[in-house]
Amino acid sequence: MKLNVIVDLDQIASRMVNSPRPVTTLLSHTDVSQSFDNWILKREGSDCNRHVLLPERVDPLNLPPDRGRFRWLKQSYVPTLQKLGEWRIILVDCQPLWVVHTAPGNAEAEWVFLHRDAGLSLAEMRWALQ
Amino acid sequence: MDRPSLRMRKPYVFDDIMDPVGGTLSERRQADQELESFAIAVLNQLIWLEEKSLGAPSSMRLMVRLDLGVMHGPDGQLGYFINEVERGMGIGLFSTGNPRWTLRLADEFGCVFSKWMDETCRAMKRLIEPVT
Repeated sequence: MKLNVIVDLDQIASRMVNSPRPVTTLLSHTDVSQSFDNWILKREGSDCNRHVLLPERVDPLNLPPDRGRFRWLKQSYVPTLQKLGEWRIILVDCQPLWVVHTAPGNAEAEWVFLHRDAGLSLAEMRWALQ
Repeated sequence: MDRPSLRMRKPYVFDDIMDPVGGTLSERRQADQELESFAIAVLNQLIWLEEKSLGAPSSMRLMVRLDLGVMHGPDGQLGYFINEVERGMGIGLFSTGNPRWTLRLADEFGCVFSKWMDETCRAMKRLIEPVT
């Protein structure tokens, strides 16, 4: 996710929907006094956590370099992401089609679909029986 | 709600969260509603902000994946937050466990795509020759 979208989400959370947000800034490669305790690093343009460094994996002396237009961000660590996982919602025309709950360490087979398949209508069953 | 009627172990395991046992239908529906209404409210605001600067319909209207997590706010309250916004043709759909959902998406997508294209072309003053 790009920093400008994060800035928009921060604004929406504080002004409109009154919900919590982790603190996010651009990663400085020159600030030697910065702390990485309880911070994670994540890269812009990283689909599904492929470029995320959790606190124990951040090496302050060997910070990852920005790659092209994708910059590294520093974000406050949210332990509940590890404890409860994430809900991934697919929306078409702003309507949720399905929700998949994923948890760290859970295999693909253990993803959980929270939306049930809708059943057939009587008209559809009538057609099937014809 | 003081105490949910779910049967949850302490400490919980992932199954307690991902495949809950117990709870009434209305509690479960309320929980879904809580998640979905948050996602839709934030998405509407995101689209509004983007369309204000674009002057054209946002592609998030067409299709988007929002990844939500929960976290404690400064007041100690637990709340949802958006951890990821993905859009475009290359997004992961998390549908491998149940590929029929991809077909459901295709049906939904087909219904809204031409409307979105029409509105985008009009906003960008680019006309497409009607098919005769």
